[in-house]
Amino acid sequence: MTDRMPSTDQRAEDREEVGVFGTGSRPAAARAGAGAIALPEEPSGAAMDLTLSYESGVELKARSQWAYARIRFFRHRLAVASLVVLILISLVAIFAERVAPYGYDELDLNNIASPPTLKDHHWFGTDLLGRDYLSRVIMGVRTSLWVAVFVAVLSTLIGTAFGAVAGYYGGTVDNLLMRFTDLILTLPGLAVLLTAAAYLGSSDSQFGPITLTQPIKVGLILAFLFWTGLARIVRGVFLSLREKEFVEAAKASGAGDMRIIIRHILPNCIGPIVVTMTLIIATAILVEAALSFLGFGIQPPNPALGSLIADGQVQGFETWWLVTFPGVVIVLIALAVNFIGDGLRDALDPTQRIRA
Amino acid sequence: MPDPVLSVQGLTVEFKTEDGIVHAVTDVSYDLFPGETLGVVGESGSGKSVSVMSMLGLIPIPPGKILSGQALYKGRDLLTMSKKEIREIRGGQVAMIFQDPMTSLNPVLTIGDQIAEAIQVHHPGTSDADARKRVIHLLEVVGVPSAERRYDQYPHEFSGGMRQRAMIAMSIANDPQVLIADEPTTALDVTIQAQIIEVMRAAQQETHAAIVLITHDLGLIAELADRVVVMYGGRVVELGDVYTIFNSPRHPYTVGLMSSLARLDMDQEWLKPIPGQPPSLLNRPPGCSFHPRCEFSQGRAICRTEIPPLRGFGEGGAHLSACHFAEELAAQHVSTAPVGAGDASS
Repeated sequence: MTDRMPSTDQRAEDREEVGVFGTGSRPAAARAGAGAIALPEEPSGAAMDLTLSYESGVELKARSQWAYARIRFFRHRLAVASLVVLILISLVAIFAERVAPYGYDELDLNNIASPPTLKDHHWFGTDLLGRDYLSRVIMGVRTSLWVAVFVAVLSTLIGTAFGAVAGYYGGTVDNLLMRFTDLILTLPGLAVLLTAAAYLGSSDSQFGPITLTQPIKVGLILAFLFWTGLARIVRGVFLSLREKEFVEAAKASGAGDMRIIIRHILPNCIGPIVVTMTLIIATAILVEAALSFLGFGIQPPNPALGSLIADGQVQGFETWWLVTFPGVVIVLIALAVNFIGDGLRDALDPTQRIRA
Repeated sequence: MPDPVLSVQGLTVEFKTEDGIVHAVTDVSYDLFPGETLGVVGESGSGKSVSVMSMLGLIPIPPGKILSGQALYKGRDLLTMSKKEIREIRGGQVAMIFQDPMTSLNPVLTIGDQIAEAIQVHHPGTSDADARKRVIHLLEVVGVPSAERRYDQYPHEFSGGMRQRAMIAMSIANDPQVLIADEPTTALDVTIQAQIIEVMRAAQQETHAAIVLITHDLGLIAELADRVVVMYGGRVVELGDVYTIFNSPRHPYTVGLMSSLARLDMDQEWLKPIPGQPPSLLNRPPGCSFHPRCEFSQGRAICRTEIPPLRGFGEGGAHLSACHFAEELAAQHVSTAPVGAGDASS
């Protein structure tokens, strides 16, 4: 063994004797090059000055991707306007009790089926039982938004988990999870929704310590159907990212699977996830409205936007305000969320340049 | 004589592909001693990277398969370790520097956080403040200027050379005993390469790690390596200290490599390429894999039928060559190139 590993001294001598590349010791072009360049371990004065003038002179502020994304988003006017509208609507929904002029089930028997009027603050009119319609729409927005956000969060969690695990591990795991996803996708949506809604019933149910209120039930049904698209998208991103060298580098520095999935790959697909999530919110609002309209969603007297329209359409055009106001609000929310999704997609796409 | 810190014995790795079995690495053995730099050279597809990646469990299995062999790190076989054990070794006592710093850093994490993570994975108790302090020290060791400010920057704010410095800082974060550098300069331009060589020296001084330097750049080998393993077609064809390999190679492939190299110390009218193509690892030529390209073997039957074993030469057999006619080559070599240059034809 000794002779396979010469001592350092001996090697140093060899170095002097045998010219590998040049006439002296081992220096090749590389050493000459290295000598000519001011080595960074001992920065020369000139190099320091350079750095300083760079810092004080040209203001080249380094921006993170998030800063760039924010700038791009705020250049998207429609998205910003939508964001303002949505924030206003959300604030109204959150503080519904304080904002609404009346309680949602408060009867005003002097004003039954009144069209929109300034009298007694019935700005949206009253319904056939004399309840203030503005208050009912506000409460309806609250219910519908709550369901939509619940659906979006839940289906994003499910979809991301499925997609991440399937995409990262691949092979059999991927096959199993994705075939299950396909199965959910092939279910006829409306039929399943109606059946499930009918099966779960229209009143609150008690599962042990957990109370399933109506909005939660509707949310669960919708989330069960809505996570598939996201699962496919996340899987796709994971499939391409797991081959990247930075994942291999993370592995080589000892990171485990969970750490790589959550800390290294997931932040790289936050863009598609956020965009898909906003689109799920929009869809959820619409589908929840449809479900409530058909009488399988939120049940009266709890107002939801869909069931308000359903109640209002009985009288046809005579009571136009009963259909119009919740309808307009639904369209407004869905549009706003879609535009925000659009803006986010553009903002989070790093290949998009900021145009001056 | 110290014990080898890493000892690879008879490592054989295959990949199953649609076209057949790729014999990526066959019966590869070498030792790595503490503090030394071992160069592994060979063409693309000669198995240099696979031989190292498979040790750390970084090749995909399947399609990859480790058929036989041992990789003893301080006497413990890396190949039979559990996933958890090997994970503790990876990035801890055995760390890697990757080829392309452009893609090896996560674009959404700051440089500092990525290096700090490497520390915290292996020392879970380290506080963020301590990790930050250590990372800044490491960035200074590898020559990243204004490390304090650079800590919070993202990879896209770093140039290629700076990123490779950051990668090296990450690899030495846990004071590794073995540092595996997989073509650390290939993706960089020449002036930066020279700097990275210095950084690697600094890194080695800081940690006293033994380095396995995988490259096809013979200049880099000459600059950094103490000993050299020459690989061809998935096998080790020659092994010796860097002076022996450069000055008196005993394998026709190494001779060919040397004469295809532009050198400053010699008058060369033309560079002499090795004729032919590297062998397909799906269907290797019988006998010595190099024989179809070998000027030396032309016509000799034994080259086509028998795989030449590695045989020892020099004092105590420290210089290994897998050529049936190594003695003859040495004789011819010395007679034609008395200066000790590696060009058999000059």
